[in-house]
Amino acid sequence: MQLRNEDFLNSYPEIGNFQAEYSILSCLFKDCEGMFFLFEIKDLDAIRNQYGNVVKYIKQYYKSHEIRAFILSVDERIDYITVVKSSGLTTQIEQLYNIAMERSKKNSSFVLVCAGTSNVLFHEGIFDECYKNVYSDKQRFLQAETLKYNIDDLEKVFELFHVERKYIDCDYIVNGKVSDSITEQKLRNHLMDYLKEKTNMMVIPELCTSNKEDEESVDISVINKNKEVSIIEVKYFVKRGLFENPDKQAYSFARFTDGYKQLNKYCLHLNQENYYLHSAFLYMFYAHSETVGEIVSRARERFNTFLRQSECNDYFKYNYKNTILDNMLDQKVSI
Amino acid sequence: MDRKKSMLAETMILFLFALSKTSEEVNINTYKRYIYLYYLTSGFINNNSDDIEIIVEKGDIKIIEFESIISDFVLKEYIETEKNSIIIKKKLLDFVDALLRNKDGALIRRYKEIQPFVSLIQSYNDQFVFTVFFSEPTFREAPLRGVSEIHSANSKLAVLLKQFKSKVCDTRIDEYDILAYWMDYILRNYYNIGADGDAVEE
Amino acid sequence: MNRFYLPILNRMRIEDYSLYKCPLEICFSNKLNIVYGTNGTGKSTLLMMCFFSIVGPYRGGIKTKVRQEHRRDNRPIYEDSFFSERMIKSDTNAKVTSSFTIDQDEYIVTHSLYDCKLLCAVVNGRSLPGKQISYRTYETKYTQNRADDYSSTDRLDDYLIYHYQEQLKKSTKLPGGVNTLISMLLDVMFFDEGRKLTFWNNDLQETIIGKYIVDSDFYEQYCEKKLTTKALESAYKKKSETYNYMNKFFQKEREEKAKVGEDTEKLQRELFHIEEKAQRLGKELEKDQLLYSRKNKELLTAIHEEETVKEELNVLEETWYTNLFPSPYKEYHGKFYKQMIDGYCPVCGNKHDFSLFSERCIVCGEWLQLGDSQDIITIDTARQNKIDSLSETKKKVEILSVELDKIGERIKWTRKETNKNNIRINEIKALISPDEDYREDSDKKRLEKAQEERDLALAEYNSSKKKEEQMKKKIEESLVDNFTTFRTAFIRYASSFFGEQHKENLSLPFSEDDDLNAPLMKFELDGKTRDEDYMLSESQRIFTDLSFRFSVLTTFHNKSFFICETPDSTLDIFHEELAVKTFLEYIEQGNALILSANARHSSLVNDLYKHYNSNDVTVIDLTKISKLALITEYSFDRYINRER
Repeated sequence: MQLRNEDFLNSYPEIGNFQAEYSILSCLFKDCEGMFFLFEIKDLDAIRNQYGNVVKYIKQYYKSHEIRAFILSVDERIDYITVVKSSGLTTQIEQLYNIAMERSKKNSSFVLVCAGTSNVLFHEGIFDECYKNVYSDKQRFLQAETLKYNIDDLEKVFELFHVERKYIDCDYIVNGKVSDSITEQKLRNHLMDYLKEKTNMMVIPELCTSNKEDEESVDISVINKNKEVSIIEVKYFVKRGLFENPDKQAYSFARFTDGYKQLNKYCLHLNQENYYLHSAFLYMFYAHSETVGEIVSRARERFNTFLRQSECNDYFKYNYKNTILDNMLDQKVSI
Repeated sequence: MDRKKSMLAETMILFLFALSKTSEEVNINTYKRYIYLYYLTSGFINNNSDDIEIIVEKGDIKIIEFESIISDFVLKEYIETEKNSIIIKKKLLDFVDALLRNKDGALIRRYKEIQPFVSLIQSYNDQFVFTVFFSEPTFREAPLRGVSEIHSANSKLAVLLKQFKSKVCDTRIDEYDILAYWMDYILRNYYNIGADGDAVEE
Repeated sequence: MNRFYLPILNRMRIEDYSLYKCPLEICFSNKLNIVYGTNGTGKSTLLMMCFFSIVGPYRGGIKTKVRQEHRRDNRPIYEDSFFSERMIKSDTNAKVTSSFTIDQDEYIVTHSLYDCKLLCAVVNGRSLPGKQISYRTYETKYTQNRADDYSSTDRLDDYLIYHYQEQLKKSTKLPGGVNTLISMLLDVMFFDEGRKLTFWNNDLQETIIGKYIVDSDFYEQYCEKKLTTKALESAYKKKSETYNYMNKFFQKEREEKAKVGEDTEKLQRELFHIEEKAQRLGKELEKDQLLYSRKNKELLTAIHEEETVKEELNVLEETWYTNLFPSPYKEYHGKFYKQMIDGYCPVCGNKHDFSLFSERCIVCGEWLQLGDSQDIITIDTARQNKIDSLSETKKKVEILSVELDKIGERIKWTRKETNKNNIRINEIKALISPDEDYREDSDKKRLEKAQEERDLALAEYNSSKKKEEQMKKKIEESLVDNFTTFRTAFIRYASSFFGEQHKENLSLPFSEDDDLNAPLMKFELDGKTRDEDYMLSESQRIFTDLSFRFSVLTTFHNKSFFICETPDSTLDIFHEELAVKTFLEYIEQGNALILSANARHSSLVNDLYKHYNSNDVTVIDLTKISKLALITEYSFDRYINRER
């Protein structure tokens, strides 16, 4: 974190003038996307205080059959003039640019050209490169955002995690065996980092699900902008002979039940606090000689047994989505 | 209402008024984040000492009196709340509009402090505001420090932005530009986009 | 986060030391060790030997002194006869050899118990070179060496102690070398009967944590900076002494008198000009003083005005907010009144006869406070006017303050010039017609010059202090990233010590003021901050301090050992149970515990002992070993069985 603050501070040469105004203008365009008009303003600062009024006015007085230039004057009045009487799309964009360029030169002003899906800013007769860069950044953010997964797509993300790990070395798999120094925390951190990278949500370790019991912290929580929470409990078990040390083993299939019990408790408490519980998962890393089908049926058996317990509450039953099985030794062998 | 609560309510109602210019509906979580970011930066932008108390938990914040004020607004029929949304009603708009007609009053000056912030923050969509919010340094550091109650006057973000300002020589660049730049910086980092627009190699 | 290595004691062998039956060979368990004995049988001596055998006779509390404005680092040590005094019969062959490991390095070190000399040190099978001398002599050379900036002709690296301490630095990787190791051993790893607390010693808290968090070089620089600041502070204080200056000045006066004859005319001319200047300065000073007094009065008036306006604004704001957001009574009234007047409860729907009065609240029946509804627009305007007025007044106050400062500076300057003049006038008069009276005046002037120098030293000190503050901030910021792990460990130990009825928290507050002396960390018990140790009971103090020490040891080191003297002496039964639990946890993390125990009814040592099988416990029963043990009936075995 310290490093990031320093990075930010050292990036000061990159800041430009009108950073805030450009951001607001690009929003103006977005709010009026699909429309064809010019927006002229002499003192660009004024857009900060008048943005809402400008958008309202444009939407009120916009006409699709003619092109208008909306002008925010120095005394904060908004007005319009007609610059092109009849609309005919193909010639108009260059025409608009020319009009904008001339007006901005004549009046020493900024003129924003909104032409359907594109927008361009002129300043004192010159194409404003800085605005283009700020706008492009915004587009890139939006583009990158579409590649991020949301809370409904978590199972897809888990799949991707497993697939990617097949091809990338990780420090807890050594020569086809599980490392002796493996810990649940290491596995959790690996999964957490991946979720941070791939989803658009806040990823939090050790979220305390209860205000009263300090012990009730779930391994990973992902929270979206609407405060919907998905809780993920991470566990692992490794059969004897599959560690580097041939005598070592860790846990057993009983881990499934442990996981369900914990999630059952968390679901109950979490729902009583302020979050909206969206889903719960048990992510089970494992290394075993049985086949996937056999592991699945073992997990299912324990799950069904647990469902029949009296301690199993409705919140769990309703929100528990899936047990994710991750065979740690499923690795692509490199030649 | 006690004084502190009233001052917050005044800010909140002006916010809603400003937001209503572009839309009658706002997501309540986004709105809370707007208020949070406003107070965390107002020491930097307006150099004022307005202070609110915030409880920080992992994953969320609670602004003291925020929920209570929302209830009061609902009671007064200034707003309606529906699941995650706040719907701004005409009664609020008329009420505030009447007050703002007084160009000699203190309220309009307050509004003029809020307007540019609203214009700027609205240019970022809900998801971006969410990302900026959970990257805000005070919110990030509080759980690491074991601190659960903060005052907006102790904003680490304001300190950071002030430090940044002291490095910038161009007098045309003002506080809003710096705030906008910081938000874009956070988003570039989050989406792994370099300054030149290309994806950054890990 | 930096990790360092601490010594792990394996074995200690004491020979020819007549307090104990020798040779005494102790094989330390890597879990629990108990040094048991009745009062006065040499328990403390044995524990001291554990440290002594590793690091020598240092007693901690390393201080920096300033002599002749130079830094001298002083490392206090015990007297050479510390251990030999405790022998029943003196023996020059008395010695202690301990085997310990630091990271991968194996040490076998022998110290004399007769005169505390370091006799021999073998590291990984290789004997370290160097001459043997007493620690006392070595320390003298060390202090001198540092003061002279290592340029002394007496080379420290001729000595075994030097090579040994360098080796320790290398093995432990501790910044600050053996000084830091001494501090760790004595301030963190040893909890003696004096119950010296570490947690509330802000300086210690910070230096203990700091070295783990930031880069080693930075940490050393920070420690250096702290010591430098202290030295500058002392230097600044020293400048107040004017003796040297005055002596020099008298000397100069005597030399100048020799030249008097030729210079008299010149001097008289100079005297005339200076006296003229002095008069002029006097008039300016008087004028400025009058102006100052007037402006000061204006300032006070303006400040008073500001206060008044502030109060008026307050009242207006109160009225504004009351009218902006009036109580929701009207809304509730509108919602409920009709039903209530029709005889139905608006909440549950049941029939009910409500007594309703217009001046009273429909729900609770209390009198309503009907304020005059005022024109809110007018109030808003009045508010803004008041804000503008306050802003103007504030500006006025600021301008006046600046003006006043300027005049003050001018007055100061004029006074300085006047003094300079007067000094010169007296000097000349003294030279032309020497008179003892002038000398007295000169003394006063000289003192003022010394004051100037003092101000300069103060500026240097403040500058160093500022740098120190900045470095402290950097340490704090680095700590934030790693604080969670440390905090988790602390809370785990603390809640184990305090039990279920209490709630503990450790936090790193956002720093609001630049107070160098403020503690880095804040401890809360049951929601209340405990900034000072007196805010807790004795056992709570102990628990907090132990939690801090355990969490430092376990967070930043893989293995450590902890020595606690008679832990049961101040705890009651309930607290003893909790302490047992916590000690066990510390041991189970892979650390070794060494306790001393008295022959008294206490379940603490008992419960700990019973927890382990004999392979994991080493008992040193001084009733059987110490020659001062006159009462042999209270052996450890009997003590343990009795408690059963």
